[in-house]
Order: sequence, then structure tokens, then C-alpha cells
Amino acid sequence: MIPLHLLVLLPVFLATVGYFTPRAVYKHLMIVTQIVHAAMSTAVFIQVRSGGAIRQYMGGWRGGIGIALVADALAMNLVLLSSWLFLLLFLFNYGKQYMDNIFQFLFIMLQGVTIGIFLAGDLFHIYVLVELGMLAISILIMYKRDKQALYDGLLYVVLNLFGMTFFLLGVGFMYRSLGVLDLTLMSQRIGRLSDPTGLSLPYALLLTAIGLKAAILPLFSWLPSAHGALSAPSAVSAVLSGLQVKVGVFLFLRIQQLFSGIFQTEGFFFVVALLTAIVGFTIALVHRDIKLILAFSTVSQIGLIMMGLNAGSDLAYYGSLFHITNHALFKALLFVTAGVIAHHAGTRDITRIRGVAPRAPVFALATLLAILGITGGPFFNGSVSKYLIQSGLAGRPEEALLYLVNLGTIMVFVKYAQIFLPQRLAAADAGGAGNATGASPSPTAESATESDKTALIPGREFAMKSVALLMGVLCLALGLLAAPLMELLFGHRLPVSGAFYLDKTLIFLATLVTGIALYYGVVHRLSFLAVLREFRLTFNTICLLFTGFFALLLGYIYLMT
Amino acid sequence: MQYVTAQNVSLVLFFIGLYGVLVKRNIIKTIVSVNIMDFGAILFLITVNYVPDSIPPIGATDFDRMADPLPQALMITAIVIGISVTAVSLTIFISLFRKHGTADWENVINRIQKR
Repeated sequence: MIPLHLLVLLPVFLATVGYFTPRAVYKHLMIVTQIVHAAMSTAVFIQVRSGGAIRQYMGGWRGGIGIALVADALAMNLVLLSSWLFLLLFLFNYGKQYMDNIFQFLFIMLQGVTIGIFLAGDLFHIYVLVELGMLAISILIMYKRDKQALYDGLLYVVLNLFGMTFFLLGVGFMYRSLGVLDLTLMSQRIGRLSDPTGLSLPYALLLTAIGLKAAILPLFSWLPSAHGALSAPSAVSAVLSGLQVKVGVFLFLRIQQLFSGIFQTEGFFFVVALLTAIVGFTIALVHRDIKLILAFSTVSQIGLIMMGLNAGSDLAYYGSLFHITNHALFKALLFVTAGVIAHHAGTRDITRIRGVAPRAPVFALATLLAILGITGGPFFNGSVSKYLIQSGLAGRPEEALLYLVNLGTIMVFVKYAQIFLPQRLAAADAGGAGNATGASPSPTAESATESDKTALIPGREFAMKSVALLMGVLCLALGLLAAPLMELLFGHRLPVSGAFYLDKTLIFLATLVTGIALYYGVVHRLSFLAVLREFRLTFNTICLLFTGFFALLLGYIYLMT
Repeated sequence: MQYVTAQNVSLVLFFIGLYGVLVKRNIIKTIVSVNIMDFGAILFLITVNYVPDSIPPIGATDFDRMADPLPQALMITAIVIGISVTAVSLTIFISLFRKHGTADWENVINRIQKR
């Protein structure tokens, strides 16, 4: 049996020990570490699937005092996902210029911290790890020093520190009422409280802080500036969007589990999630920077995941869990390919990137596969998880809203697919877009300096191409093998029949045609939408929204109980 | 006087900090306010379940009168984290100030967008 703390500490330990070795040695050491780690987490996953949850107390203390590590099915799914995703990204980055020791060290720290959060068994432990992860991320997103890097980094650090004080105060109230911080013991003692509704204040404090991490509706403003940051290397954006947001979703699930049966907030969070999804794709539709489009699309997908989790149906719940894995895969792929595509084109402005296919055929193919995944193309992984969420809502009026969200996603990626248009259309477009390029010359300048830094290293292209293709093929494979995978990952049988694919294909094609028509017929021409692009919340407004969300949640709980 | 307990003081501190975060546009004041909130929360946790006349949990003395040691052990960690995060944010702030020459959230973003 593999001790759980090894999963957290092995990468951190090796990254620290090897830090002073030369760069070429360090790089290979880290890749070996990743391979070992991926193998270990797979082994633990198999053990948990067959033998049930593992619980381990650090330092030989008894339960309730020592730091607990808990590996249950939910946690191990995410650990497995993160460890393989990090391996793939390390391989992808093999020849990148920015892969120096500091970068890799921070990247590995982030991995250890993320896995630590998934395995954490008590609230304070979660608090510590989230703060640690925040420190690593704040440096990573400023890594390529850009004009806006410092602002993005500072906003991220201060806002998250602000959010985590709410979390800490919530932990304090929980400890005052229950006398323990271990999640399992807490849920036992909550059952014994004579009046558990008195916990509404800590509940609201904890969930508001977690809402900030998960980037739900009024609290998402930090996400685009962090995930789509000009200065973040694309691998960092991939991890942030693919995994780090899921930490918020995971903590949301843990806290909801703890309070299940006391507070009925599913309806509240369903509405919030729906609004998150709609606002996410609306803003994505107006942006021109390809990384910002992807970042806002993440907001919209998180909304979709949270909708499924709060739909109150098993099918939608498991669909959402599957969508977490799927979204991590295709969003990471989209971000890394976007980095390459912007590098080739010399700009990040979507109206000026054209003819990607002949210039970088492999990355174009991988992008196409990822787009098919995220829009729910037939046979792809996204279609299965979206279908599950939808069938969980079947027959309820909310089902129509799900179609709306899906249509929005498709419109965003119809827009994104502009990059496949042939080159000569760009000249015709340039007249119309001339105004735009004049207004925002920044992306061009940034990527020009970026391309100076990234000199070619032998083997670089090969590693990047093969990893991108592998991830694209995985998107398809996860869709084709969805039924056995769902049983393997979640122990949940999937009700899929042969007619399912035909049905899905027809719906997908219909939505696709509507999406293309709507985008080019209506959205593309609405010039007033451009106002949204300039729209930016100031720090104080974000904090005000945060406090408002807290008050709203608290008021809702008071009224409902 | 019975309202001036450590618990109430810590909550008042927390909300003073919250007020500062919500209305002050100066970045330094924001960082200070967030720290006040942080210390409010830490004070709350240290004094949670405090029984008057209890003794510090050091050495094997009278276990019955000992204060709850767990929050104290945890809060040392929380204080260290608070300090390091503050240090990082102040470091970023210094570079930001050198680059843009302002300590105001809105001015910073305006100057970035203008360029």
C-alpha cells in the first residue's frame, strides 16, 4: 500500500532536493517524478475503487487531532486527473524556453498543493493549502513580465487573501460550535446538535469563500485576469482553468456534503450557476483575445458543472463529475494550442489569426478535436457528460435552459473556429477590423517579445505535437469509452443505447447550425456588445459584490430555515 | 462591560477591516485592511472556547485548567501564512508602484489601458 502523504510530498520533496541541479538534469528529474507520481496515484485509485476509502492520520496522532488525509472515490478521481494532466503538461513543455528551475519548482509546488487539497480531511488543512497554492499561482501568472502582469498578480493575491479571511472566520465558528475540525467528526457532531440551523453563519462564510475559488457568478471577475493573463505561460493557464477552478467545485461538494440535510440551498446555487453559465458565454462572445475567450468559456463551463451538481438528480450529478474530467482535458488542450497558435500568428487577436491549418496542421487538428469535445460533438466526451446532465433535468423546465447554455457554448466556439478560415479572408476582414487593431495593439506587441524569448530547442516541436494529439485523441476516446469509464471512475452504470448517438448527432447538428446562424447573423453585428469588452470591475466593486453575495446567501438561508 | 469580550472585539475588528476593503481605493490601505480582517479571524479562533482562569498549555501541569491547545497551535500557522502572503502582496505592490507611479486601484488600471 502506498502512504497517502507520499502523493502530496513526493513531488514537493524531489523538486526541492533537485532544485540546485543544472537545468537539463532538473527537467528530466521532474519528468521522471511525474511518471512515478502518475503511476502511484493510479495504484491508489485502483485500491480505493476496490477496497473503499482510505483514511490516514499524520504523525501518529489519533483521529480528530492529527492531520487527516482521506482518499475517497471523489478525491481520487480528481487526484488521478491532476496527476496525469500535470504529466502531460510537463511533457508538452519539454522544450519551452521558460522552463527554468524556478518555474518548474513552482509548478510542482502547485501540483503538490492541489493534490493535498483533494486529500485533505480537515478544514484548517484546506485553508493552509489553498493559501499556499495561491502564492505559487500568483508568481506563475506573472511569470512572463508584462505590462499588466503586476496588476493581475496583485489583484489575485489580495482578493484571495480577502476571501480566505471569510473562510478562516467560518472555520472559527465551526470550531466554536463543534470543537473539531476533522470533516468526518464534524459531520457526526452536526447530527447530534439540537439546533443545527445555528450554523448558518459559518456555512455562509465558508461557501462565499469557496464561491470565489469556484468563480461563480458575482465572484468570477478575478478569473479572466488570472487565467487569460497575458503574462501567464499557456501551460499555467491550462492548469488554472483545467484544475484549479475545480478545487473550488470540489470544496463546494465537500462543504455541501457536510451540511447536507440542514440547509437546502440547491435551488439557490442552481440559479447562480445558470446565471454564471449565461454571463460567461456572453462575455466570451464579445472578447477578441483568444486566451480571454477561453477564460470566459471556463466561467460558463463551471456554471454548467455547478448546474448539474445542484440539479438534485443522480444522473446530473455524475454527469457533472464526468464533465469536470472532460473539461480539464479539452480546456487544457485549448489553452496550450492557443499558445502555439498565437505564437505562430504573432497576435492574439481573433480577428487577425487566419489560416491556422496549413501553418500548424497538427495543432489545428488538436484544436478541432478539443472544440468538438467542448461543444459536445457526437462521440466526443463532452457530449456524454452534457447528455447526462441534461437527462438528469429531463422533463423539467430547466432542460430548455440547458439547451440555451449549450447554444452559447457552440456560438463561442463558432467564433473561436474563425482561426481556421483561409488566409485571404483576413485581408477582406482587415478593413472592418482595422479600428479594432488600432484600439488594441497590445496582443501583437506582447507575442512579438514572447517569440524572441522562445528560441527553438530540438525535440520541442515533437513533444508538443505528440502531447497535443494525444490529448485530442483522449477527448474522443473518453467519449467512445464513456460507459465503461463511468463505471470505472464513479461506479455508476451509464444508461446508453445505440440510438443515443444518432439522437445526439441530430441535436448537435441542429444546435450547430443555429449557433452559426445566430453568431454570424446577429451577434457578430451587434456593435454595442463591444462595450462589454471594456467593462472591468474595480477592486472595491469586486469586494462589494463578494460581501453582497455573502449577505444574500445568509439571508436566503435564514428565510429558508 | 460584559460585551467587551475577545470574541466581540475580534468580530468588530473583522468588520472594521471589511469596511476598509470596501471603501478605500488606496492599495496599501487595502492590504492593511485585509490584514486587520485576517487578525480579527485569528483572534476569534484563539479565544474560541476560552474559559476564564485557564493556564497556558505548556508543560504537563494541571490538565483540567489548561486552555484548549489546538486553536493556538493552528493559529501560529495562520499567522505565518498571513505574514507571508502580505509580504508577497507588498512586494508586488512595490514593483507596481515603481512601474505605474500610483497607489490607487483605479488609476493603475486606467494607466494600463491607456498605454
